[in-house]
Amino acid sequence: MTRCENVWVAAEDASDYAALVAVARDLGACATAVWMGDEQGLDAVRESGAGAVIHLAGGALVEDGAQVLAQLAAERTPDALLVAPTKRMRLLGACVAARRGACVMSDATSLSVDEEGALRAERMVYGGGAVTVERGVSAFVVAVPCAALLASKAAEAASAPGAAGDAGVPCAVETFAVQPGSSGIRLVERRAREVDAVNLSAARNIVSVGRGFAAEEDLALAYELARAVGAEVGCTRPVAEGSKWMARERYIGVSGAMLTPNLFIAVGVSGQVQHMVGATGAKVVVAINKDKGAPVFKQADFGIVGDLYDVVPRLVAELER
Amino acid sequence: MNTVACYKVVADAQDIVANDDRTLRFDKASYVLGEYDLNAIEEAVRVASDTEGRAVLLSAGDARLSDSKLRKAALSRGAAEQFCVVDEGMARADALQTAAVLAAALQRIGFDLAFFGEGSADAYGQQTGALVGALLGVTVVNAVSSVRVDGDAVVVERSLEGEVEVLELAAPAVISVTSDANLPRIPQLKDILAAGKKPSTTWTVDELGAACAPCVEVTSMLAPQSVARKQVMYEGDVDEAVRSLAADIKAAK
Amino acid sequence: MDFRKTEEQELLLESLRTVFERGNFEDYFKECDETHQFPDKAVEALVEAGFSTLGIPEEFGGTSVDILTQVMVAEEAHAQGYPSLCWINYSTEVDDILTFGNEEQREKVLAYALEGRKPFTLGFTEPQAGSDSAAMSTTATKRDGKVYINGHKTFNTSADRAPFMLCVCRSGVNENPYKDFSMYLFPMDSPGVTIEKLDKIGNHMCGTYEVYLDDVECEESDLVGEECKGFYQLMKNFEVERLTLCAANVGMARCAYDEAARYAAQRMQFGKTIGSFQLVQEKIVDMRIKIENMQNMLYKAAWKKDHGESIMVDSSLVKRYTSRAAFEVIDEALQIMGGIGYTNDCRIARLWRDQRVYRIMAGTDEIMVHTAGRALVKEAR
Repeated sequence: MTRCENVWVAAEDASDYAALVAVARDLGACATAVWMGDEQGLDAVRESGAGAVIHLAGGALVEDGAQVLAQLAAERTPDALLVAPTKRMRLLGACVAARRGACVMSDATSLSVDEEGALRAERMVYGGGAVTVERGVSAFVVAVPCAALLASKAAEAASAPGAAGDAGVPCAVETFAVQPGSSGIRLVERRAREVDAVNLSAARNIVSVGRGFAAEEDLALAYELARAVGAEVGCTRPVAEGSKWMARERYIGVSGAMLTPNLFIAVGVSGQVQHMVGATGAKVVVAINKDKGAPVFKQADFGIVGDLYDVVPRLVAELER
Repeated sequence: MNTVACYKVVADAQDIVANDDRTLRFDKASYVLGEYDLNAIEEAVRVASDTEGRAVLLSAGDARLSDSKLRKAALSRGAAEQFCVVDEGMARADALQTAAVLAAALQRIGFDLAFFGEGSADAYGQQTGALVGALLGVTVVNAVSSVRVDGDAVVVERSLEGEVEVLELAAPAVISVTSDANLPRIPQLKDILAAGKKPSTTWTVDELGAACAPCVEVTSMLAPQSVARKQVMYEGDVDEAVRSLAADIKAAK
Repeated sequence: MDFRKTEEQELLLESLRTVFERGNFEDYFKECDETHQFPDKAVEALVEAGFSTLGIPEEFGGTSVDILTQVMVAEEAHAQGYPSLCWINYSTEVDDILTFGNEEQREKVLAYALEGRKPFTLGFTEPQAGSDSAAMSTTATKRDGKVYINGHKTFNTSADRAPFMLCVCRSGVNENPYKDFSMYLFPMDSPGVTIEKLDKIGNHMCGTYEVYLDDVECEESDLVGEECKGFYQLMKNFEVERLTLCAANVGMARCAYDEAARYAAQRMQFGKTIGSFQLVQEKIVDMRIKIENMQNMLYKAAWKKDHGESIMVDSSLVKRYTSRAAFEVIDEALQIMGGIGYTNDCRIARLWRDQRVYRIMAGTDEIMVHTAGRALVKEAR
């Protein structure tokens, strides 16, 4: 890739386009929105600030559009495709990439164009233990900006609507027909997932729970502390996946939520990088752990060495005084 | 159904040492099976055994892949046979190069369902399964949390951000499973002993004719910039410590 | 000499560590210790992962494995904090019954052992017969085609949970007690069996009992092996049992060492870590030397047994050495921890209480001198 002028963006949710368009604009590119949803969403996407919209219509599933999109990309040779960091879009992005001889730069914490015109992404690897800089060397590349990057772009766009350029002005649409079922996938049923309606990224304060809690019912302590502080409750991966004490939405870390809260209180958390990387953006980190050697203390501003079962109730009482 | 589970051998992230200049040292690192790949292996083995099929393993990597302990570690998890593509270049391969190699190997092995984990434990790009499926031109789906085979029909549940989809797939298909799909078994001694006797085939990238040009290059890899924290610790009298900490929390929130 | 573990041993130990990682049992063990509960949850997890089948022959549903590997597994479990006297592998107990028991006895014992449940409590020690086992006076008396057992056994571990007692009794046939002992296997819920719990300083997760046997009615078929050969039958596996105990010693010592060394590396006093003081370093070095010695001695004895060599002397040496050295290591670990080490919140306190009995049970330190000492002097003659 020797330039980055023509960038396509795709998402499932029409409201994600403004941020994707902003990311593309930061790269110096004019964005073309690829929309695979309904007509109502189409109107919103047209006003997202994109220069044009490619509407893939008629697919039973978004996945049905992959082939047509790859075909269009082959004909029109965009420099890059940016997709929102959702599971469905990751699949679509990879399918298009493979058909175009490219791969995906996933969960980029920043995206830029280097001197040679190649798309450059920073991303975390080894569960947050390392940061790499990657550059696309093929004529086309797919990138997934991480959720935090998109959120910050969305916030920028919201605070300075003028900067969004053409936002609000409907742009031209080209529609292409998609063969339903072409993905080989047939939708049998779709049901709402019992999603734990928590948005950790938006929370001002966070209490994070680790394996220092011996039993599920003891999590009540963490919720009490959260109530006293005015915080949301999150957890480490073993608590969400191993013990299944909490929903996956509450898992903090490189494969979970990456946060920028004001205050992050780690309770019974040992402080492994895979988890703590989710809190590097926190203003103040507090740790409660009985093991003085726990790595969490090296990553905390304030800490108490003590049994959480002893410390947390007293702390709640003190905070409520 | 005959299944293939793909896995990657990775450096154990816990053993990576960061130098003061943020460069990384891997010399103390032990190499392990990617933890998300264990779910792929478990699912492939379960589906094959439920459908009277055969589950085999596939991996691509550098010479570490030939380590006999790692081979036994993989084969002790229920699969009948193992295929490895060993090539020094694989250590630096990008996701598409890896996918091209795996796709060529899968074509040679033959399969009804090929399983991948959610992502590799090192790069965690969450794309290799999808790339492989697309390269092979077969049905491909990610985020699968359960798989049910009913005759020829493969029905999967896919856990997306806000919904669950029940999907019927046309085999052959490539499926990436989430870590909720199963709890990987803990190999028992008899499994470990049996693993050493299972067949294992090694190919090179050239033998598969699967070399392709790189599309992404890694220009640097460093430890994350550490955030300077105050590291104030309260020890000793609990009441006093709690009072101090509560004051800090009130000031911060 | 190859000191490496085999790949199979390494993988098996990795599996074991995964059980502990997933189980996250540390707080659970503390709770069980406080409430004197048997750690069922951890037992279940280990049994599910197949560790109770190790060493039981394949034809009986187990997985044959050498003694060295069994020793490594037991050691590792205790090094991970698994509580003393609760180990889930009963392959030696099974072997006693497989060798000498009848079909029915084999089946009963196997079923429990494969599930990781202690099949029987051994009725051996009596109040007047501790180290002096010849003084045992429990009797088995034949009457009207039945056998009646009368006596008083003590220090019976898990008499509350074990479904059977393997009871060593005088048959009243021979003057020489060693040629008069017979073994009977009977259910602990037989009429005439009563138990009374002993209040110990440690090993709270595993109850220890006095067992009163008052005219306990047995069938003649409850005899295990041959009449009057009970003592010699019991001796068949006592060396291997001893090695398993030694493995617990090494494991507990490692557990304490790891915790204390980590603490020494981080505990600040006088402006530096206590680990930077040579008095503490000396402790750590000496603890480590003892652990290395214990492991080497234990593994070598296991290796010899696996290779058909006699470990008559070795088993006594290892038992005496590991019991004492482990106690010293744990005691020093407690010392490094300071006041915290003396609180029950610290795992080392439990190890300190629990391990002490290893210097007494299954042959005291002094009896080990007696057994090995005679042989060594004889060898030098």
